Amino acid sequence: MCNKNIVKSTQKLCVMAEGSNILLDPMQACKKTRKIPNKILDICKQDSRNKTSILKKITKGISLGFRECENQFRHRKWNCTSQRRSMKKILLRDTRETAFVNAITAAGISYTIAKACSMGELVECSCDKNLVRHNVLLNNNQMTTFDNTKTNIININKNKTKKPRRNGNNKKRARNSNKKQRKAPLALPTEVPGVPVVGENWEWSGCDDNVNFGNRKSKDFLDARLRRRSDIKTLVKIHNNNAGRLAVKKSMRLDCKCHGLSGSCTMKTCWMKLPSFTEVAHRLRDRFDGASKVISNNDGTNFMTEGLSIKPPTRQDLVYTDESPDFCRPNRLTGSLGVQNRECNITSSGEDGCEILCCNNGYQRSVTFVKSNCKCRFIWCCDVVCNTCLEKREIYTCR
Amino acid sequence: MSGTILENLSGKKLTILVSFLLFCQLICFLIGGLLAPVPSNVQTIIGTICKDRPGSHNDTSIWLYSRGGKKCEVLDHNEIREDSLRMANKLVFVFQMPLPRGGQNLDYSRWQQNLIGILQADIAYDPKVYNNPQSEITLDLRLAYRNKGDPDDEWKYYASSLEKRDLTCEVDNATDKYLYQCDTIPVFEMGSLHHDFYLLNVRIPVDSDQQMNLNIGYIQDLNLATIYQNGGFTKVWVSLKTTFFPFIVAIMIWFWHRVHMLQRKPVLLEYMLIYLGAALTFLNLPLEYLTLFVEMKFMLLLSDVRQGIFYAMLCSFWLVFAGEHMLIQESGEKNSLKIYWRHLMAVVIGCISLFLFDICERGVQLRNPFYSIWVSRFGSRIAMTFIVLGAISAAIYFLFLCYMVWKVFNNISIKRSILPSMSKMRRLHYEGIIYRFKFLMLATLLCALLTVIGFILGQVTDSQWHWNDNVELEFSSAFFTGVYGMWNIYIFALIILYAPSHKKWPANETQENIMGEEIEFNNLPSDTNPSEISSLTQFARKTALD
Repeated sequence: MCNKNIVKSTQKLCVMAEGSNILLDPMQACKKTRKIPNKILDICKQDSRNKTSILKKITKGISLGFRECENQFRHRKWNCTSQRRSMKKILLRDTRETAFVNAITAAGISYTIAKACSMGELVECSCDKNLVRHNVLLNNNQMTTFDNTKTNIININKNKTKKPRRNGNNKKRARNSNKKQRKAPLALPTEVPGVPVVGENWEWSGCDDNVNFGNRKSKDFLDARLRRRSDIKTLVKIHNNNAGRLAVKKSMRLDCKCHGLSGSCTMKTCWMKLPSFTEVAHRLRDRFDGASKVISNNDGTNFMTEGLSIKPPTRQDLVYTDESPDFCRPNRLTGSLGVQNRECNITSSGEDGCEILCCNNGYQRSVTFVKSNCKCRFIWCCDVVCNTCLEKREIYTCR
Repeated sequence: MSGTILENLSGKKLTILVSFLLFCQLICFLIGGLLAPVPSNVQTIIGTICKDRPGSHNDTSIWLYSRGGKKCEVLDHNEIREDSLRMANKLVFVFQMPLPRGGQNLDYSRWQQNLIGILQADIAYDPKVYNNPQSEITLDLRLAYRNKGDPDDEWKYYASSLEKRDLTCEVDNATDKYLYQCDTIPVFEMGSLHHDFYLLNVRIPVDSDQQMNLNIGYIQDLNLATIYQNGGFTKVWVSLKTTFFPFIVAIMIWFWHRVHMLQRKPVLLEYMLIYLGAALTFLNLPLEYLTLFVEMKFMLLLSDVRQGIFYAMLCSFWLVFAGEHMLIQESGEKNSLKIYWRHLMAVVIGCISLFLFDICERGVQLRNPFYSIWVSRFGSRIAMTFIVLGAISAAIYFLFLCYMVWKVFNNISIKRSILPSMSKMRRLHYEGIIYRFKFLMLATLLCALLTVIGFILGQVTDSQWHWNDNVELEFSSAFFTGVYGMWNIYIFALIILYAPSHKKWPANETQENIMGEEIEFNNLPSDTNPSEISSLTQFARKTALD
């Protein structure tokens, strides 16, 4: 939909549309319409080589994000509908809702890839510990500066300082084979370490086990195209994507096991457990409610809150620049579908209550009967006897 | 000829020796901190949910796996949720270990030694189904193994069991579709990692008659955390053992040879030193090399036993050491361990109870890797009894040791008060003994203290310490190698310093003096307790009489 002949002033809108379309049509990222950043090219390349690809998982992650968004907002005026037409309009703007959709899809990608790694569905998940820690450091830098050249310098420096240590490590590790020594430093600058290094690493110090790989791929996929720009919309989008990914990390839970002498705690190992995605989404919904409106600062390299008295947003907070449209009435321009025929809760006085959700338009009651299995008796193995129950359900919908 | 090397070593030589040993200690610490990775690592695996094959509930030759040819039929969460019965009795949670990484199918290395599996259930919150936070879950667990080069479907039976486990869950935020926060469930402990790939199939049988798994809610996912020892750590650890082993053996031979060069028979303290050295040698013996070739499921148990024997020996040694410095000695008769049976009771009882506990837990795991004594109420009561018994004996031992050390110090202070009445030669000798005895006490205390401090630091702080950007210190590994090296060096030093010295006493004068003073001592009114003659004095007297 973006014409190359379009005049310069509308180019920004065009770019945003394309950026948003990545979420609605992830496969488009690999279409060779224009220059593809290397990191995305990596993801696309892996696609053609393997059956279980990262791109497939990314697509799955995005739809997980959308589905969970729908689930979280099913009792609100804006119900995060997956209808393409509406979602496209939402993604074009820069409201609170856009912020949430961006954050939750970024989180969805991270989560799905991390989960796929833990299930053994992706073979390309990283192993090297040092590399991961190193990359997290880098990400933090990028987050605060948004200055590409600067981070690149840091990147190079970090690589330089890191090299001798790994080299030395390898020397000790494989004292008798010079071959391995030469391979290791060569493999370092690239993202995926060379084949012999992985096995060696695995035997020597095991593989790391966390969401960092998912976060990295999510960042590569969503932010690689945006990184070169520094207008307020891009900044806000990158911020929200990061907040989404951070939500996954922050909702992980620590568990430990003692396995020392006779099972005592002289030896203790801890690990982080991936939460349910609903938990991540819930965390983000809280951030949605407390999202802050921001404006560009004077030099346009960063954003700030409108009032000086308002606390600046943290890395976990969602930010937006436009006010939300009215979702009571359908509006093709804003993507609002209205609240007609939405199900509401008669007993609630909150946002899902029939008064508020239906925008005071009134509601109607209907009764349905649902068949379900009940009073089941299980016999192991393989036999189940159930009764069928009829359940009466009262449904209230907005007029 | 007289005394031990410790008594005859000049201050300068002692300083050199001690600083050399301290340097070795530092090396041990740094080897662990800089060279070795963390002692163990985790890989968390989320179970792939597969559709069960008919007839599998009593056929252990059916294996479902999630990667490779002829893999199982994978089910989606949505498919399961749509089924009104949530496909009860039709699901298998499949864990294929280890996970692939970096574009490679990894396999377990035998250097990785052991594998511990812990399950965590993701149970969806449902206000209707589940309301008691404590319930019981029954798991049908089956383990299989495969080696490199085998066909993808050639899984061989390793173990299987129907296990009951307590399931303790709570919900933090009562929102729909949240997960319960469930406690971890230990599932298996394997003492050897002999094969390349392992496979765990978990079924959750539901049965109304047996009240099996009826009220645990809908298990969305099962997470398996697998803890393995890092190969790098094993390598460093075994090299450390291999290095210490010949040194300790050599010093023991030297020591024994030296003792036998004397005309007298070895005394108890020398026997104790040799026992201690033997216990340490048994601990140092690098048996881990054998696991690279032979499947040794008993390695976890054996390493517990080895450590247990060593610590028991060390504790006994301290008791005897303190006792030998104050007990009365029937003139000429040498002491034997029998005299100390009451003192050593605490050590023996403590060790036996801990050994029994270990046999009950890790011993049974040799037969059934899924077994855990903590699962059944009866078992956990027995385990608790053993542990409490062990703790009580440890406390008694500690109090008793403190009492004895206090008595020895009392002795020393009494000796001090009568020092001025001795001849110059004798006084110097006594001062030397007291100084060096205190020095050794200090060393022991320091070692114990360092171990405790290291342990507490390891529990409290982050495992990695950063000096600067380039140097990272792996603290937990440094703690293990440091402590291991420390006790080796400590015992090495003990054996050297307590070996009989071959230096000659300055001729007749001393002998007369000693004889004279012994008589003097016995007649002194302050010296009411005859037991307060230090064994070192005894030692000196006896050898002098020779």
